[in-house]
Amino acid sequence: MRQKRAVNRGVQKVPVLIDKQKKEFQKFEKNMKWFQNNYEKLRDQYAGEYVAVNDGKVVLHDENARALITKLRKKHEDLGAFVIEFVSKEKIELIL
Amino acid sequence: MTHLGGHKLRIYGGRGRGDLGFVNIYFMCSNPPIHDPIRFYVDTGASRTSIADRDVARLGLNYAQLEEAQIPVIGIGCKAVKSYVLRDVLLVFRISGSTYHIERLPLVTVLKHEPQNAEERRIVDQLPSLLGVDILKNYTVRFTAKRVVLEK
Repeated sequence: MRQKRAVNRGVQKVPVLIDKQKKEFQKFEKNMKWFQNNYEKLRDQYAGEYVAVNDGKVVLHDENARALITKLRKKHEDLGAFVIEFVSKEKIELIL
Repeated sequence: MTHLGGHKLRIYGGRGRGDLGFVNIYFMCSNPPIHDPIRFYVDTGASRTSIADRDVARLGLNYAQLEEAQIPVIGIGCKAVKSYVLRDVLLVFRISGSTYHIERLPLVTVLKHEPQNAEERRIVDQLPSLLGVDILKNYTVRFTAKRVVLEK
């Protein structure tokens, strides 16, 4: 009954992602966390640039996000787990 | 009742750029095939969930293969933004270790800004993908010092 209710509510007790996707999701979250935890250090080195983060390190950086993605795609077929973020020189505010 | 076994469903996100709340989502769509994680910023000011230009590039999406949106999109910069749609999308949220929550959306907007120069391009590429009211209307959104929490 509880299981049925859980499914109805959309909470999946059974795997909804295949192993490959699950690993990719976990890696993406890990890369995002690493980026945030190391932001101050990254600012010293890459301020004003985009960085590509994977496996706890910056694998590429470029002032141009498109150029960075193009270079990255030449080396890696799937960018799913990669984090590509801008490192701002100063603290910014966003009004979206 | 919105309780699951007496507990509320809670999706925890973080606080990112500009102190905004974000959630990481595994994004799934069959046409074109997309199976990738994306970070979405929580935006109660956005009518629809949207994928920003930089994520479009990261996912390798080709605008030419997408369906053009029929409803115009107006951004905060008071400019109309060219937009496309993805249909029948699944958004997979990780609740905890191996527990997931799925939300289905009939439409997700894919944005295509048209920057006029390098400086505009630099700004456009910083814009994040947004989790809009089409999802958020089903949740109570609250902020803690380090997190955003979506609950229902």
